[in-house]
Amino acid sequence: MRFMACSNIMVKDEISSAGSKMLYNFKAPFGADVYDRCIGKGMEFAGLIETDEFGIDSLFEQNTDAAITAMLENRCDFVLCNDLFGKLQRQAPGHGLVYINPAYGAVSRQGLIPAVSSMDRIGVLCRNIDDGCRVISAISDGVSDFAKEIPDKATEYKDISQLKYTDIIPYVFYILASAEISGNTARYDGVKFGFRAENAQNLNEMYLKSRTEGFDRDTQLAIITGCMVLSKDNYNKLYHKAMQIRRLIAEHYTRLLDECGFLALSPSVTGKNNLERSVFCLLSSLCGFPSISMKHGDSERLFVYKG
Amino acid sequence: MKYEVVMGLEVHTELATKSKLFCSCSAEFGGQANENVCPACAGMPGMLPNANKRAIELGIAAGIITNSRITPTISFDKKNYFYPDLPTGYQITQLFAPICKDGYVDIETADGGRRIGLTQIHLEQDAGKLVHSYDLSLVDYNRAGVPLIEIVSKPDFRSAEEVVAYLEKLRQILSFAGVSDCRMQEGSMRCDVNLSVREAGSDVLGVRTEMKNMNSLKAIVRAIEYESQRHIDALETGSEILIQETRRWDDNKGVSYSMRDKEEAADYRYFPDPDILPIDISDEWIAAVKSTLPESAGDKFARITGQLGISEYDAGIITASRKLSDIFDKLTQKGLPPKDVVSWIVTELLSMDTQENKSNDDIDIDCDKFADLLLLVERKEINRNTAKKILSLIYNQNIDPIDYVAQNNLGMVSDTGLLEGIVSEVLAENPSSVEQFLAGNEKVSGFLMGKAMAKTAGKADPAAVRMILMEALGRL
Ligand SMILES: [Zn+2]
Repeated sequence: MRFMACSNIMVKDEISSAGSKMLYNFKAPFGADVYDRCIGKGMEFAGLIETDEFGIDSLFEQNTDAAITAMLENRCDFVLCNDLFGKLQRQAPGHGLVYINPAYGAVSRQGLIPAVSSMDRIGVLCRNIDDGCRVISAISDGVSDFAKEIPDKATEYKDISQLKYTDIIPYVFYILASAEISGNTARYDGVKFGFRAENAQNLNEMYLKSRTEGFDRDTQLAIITGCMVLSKDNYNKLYHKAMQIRRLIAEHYTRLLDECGFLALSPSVTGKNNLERSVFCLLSSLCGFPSISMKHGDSERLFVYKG
Repeated sequence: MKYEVVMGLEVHTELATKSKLFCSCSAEFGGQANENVCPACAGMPGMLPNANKRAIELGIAAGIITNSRITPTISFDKKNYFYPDLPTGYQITQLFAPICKDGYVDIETADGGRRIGLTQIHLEQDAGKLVHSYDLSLVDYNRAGVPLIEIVSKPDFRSAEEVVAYLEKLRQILSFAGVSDCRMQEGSMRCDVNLSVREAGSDVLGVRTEMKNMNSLKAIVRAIEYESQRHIDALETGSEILIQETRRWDDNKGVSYSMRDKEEAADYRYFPDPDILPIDISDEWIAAVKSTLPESAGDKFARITGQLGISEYDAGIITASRKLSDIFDKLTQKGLPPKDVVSWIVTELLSMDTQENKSNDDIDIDCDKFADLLLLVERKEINRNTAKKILSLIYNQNIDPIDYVAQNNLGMVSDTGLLEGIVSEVLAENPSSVEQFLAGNEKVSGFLMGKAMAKTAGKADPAAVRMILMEALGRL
């Protein structure tokens, strides 16, 4: 199989920029575990694909992701990605593609340029379930048999009242994600590697200019939000509270999955912004549940499993 | 008005691990700049931290020897701030579940014994080092990621003397247990002092300032004296209004100055590090660490002064240093008499290297060779003077004492017939000294003794020579 990887997955000696000007010249000193595993299985590497900066989706724009385009142009059989914000899961079914997320922690994150450490995971954008399962088996330690749990025809929601917390999932997600993004992007300061702005008069100015010019708007928004939710005044009100709600969400949906085996949800719903549109993808991100986004019958489905 | 100074200490000390806290780079001091650096401790993305088990065990050991409670499940947190010596832009430390809590250390001062309470001990990473030259600032990440413990005391100190006694005690128990080398000069032990002043008898604390950057006991004493006086002056004269702040001690100028521009604005935005799972510390693990700890310095002091009859002064020197204590143990295990061993260590070995800033823990000698040397003395095969010279050669050039004695024919001359002949020669060659001796000037025997020793090139058994000489003089 021929594969590509989003540029936040490091490939030794290749410029692995994670879509960021900050890392425009960053030659990865080692390769990601997933890359090595694919090569080890005899798969053929067809190149890196630009990604949204660090995999951070824009809040409002809805441009087609470069990984989808690469698949549609038939440049490879699958793409390794980190679909933290659910953008690929939202878009894949509409293009006849499949996105598979393994359970959090099932696939090594070593060599993935981090955005949200507690949710980052490498998933697979592919053409069909069989391909996807084969890749997931190759890059994880466990054997994946998602496919057998996919129903023959679209299941009806039995009891929608059980889908709790949907109004706050996007914002709990964004509070926690932005906090972690602010920490994980702190290393890009122009001091050691990557982009450094010119004409700074002193250290502080070098930090400010480098980070202002080096990060795009969505990353800057996430960093500022992250710093805000972690600040002394807001930690308990926002970050800590979001952590508590995350646990409630995980407990509730784990119980629900214990009862029904899997949930058939929708990868894309109507909403005021991309976070709200991705709500069920973000549920999977928050709780680390494995999931598959695909066209099923006439509907676009996000199947969520317990993992 | 009488005032009372109230102080609490935060002591940072580097743990004696071979590798760093979250990667496998060497944690050894020194080396070329940026020699001990990998993508992880250089802050490159994509590497996940891997906790160093040994560092956690040394943290547990620190808890055991400071009578602390060990936390059953520890976790690590990110402390965020920008500085070029911090490669990731955050320091991994412990805020929410530090490894140890509620310990204490007993100290002795001239006023008697006192117990200093410890709030907590936590593990964290050290930062790198900035080197400034001309208009450039260079950064060396060799120390970045080296494991530290921070020992936070309660505000239990009332005098600089107590602070010094506490730091010396900490240094002793930590280095003795192998937790840390505690070298202030190399920055492996650092200390911040929180200080406030109140009217004697009051139970309300005054305004607290924190002083940083003191890297010797002398500097700490000076800084405490300066800062207490500044507080007292402010209280008495209203010359300045005290504010809660961080101050930096300038030991050259002998003053502390405010760091508030840089520090006070900092909000470290602590949060749990999602890359490091919480670690359970079982009772079995604690017991296993306990079983590997050596006899404590206090127990050892009691044992060697009690059972072995070593003087308190000498025992104090031996138990102040893990190195000397180990040398003592190795030599006595070879069957050498403890008192002789102590005398050789304290009077001879410690005079080998009197360079400034050398601590007794820097002494490095091959104990097997040291033991061989003392066995030669014990068996009267060489005399003490010869042995001192050979000790210096072992210390400086690592020679083998047995080979050296044989090759240089230094074996002690104790053949009575030979020595008697030499003594008669000396008496014959120095008739005026003999006359003086017979006239009652007994000090002259020392001169004659020296002459006799010189004839054996210093190799004779001095006790035997003295006996033969005195007998010969007695016969005259
Ligand atoms: Zn390293």
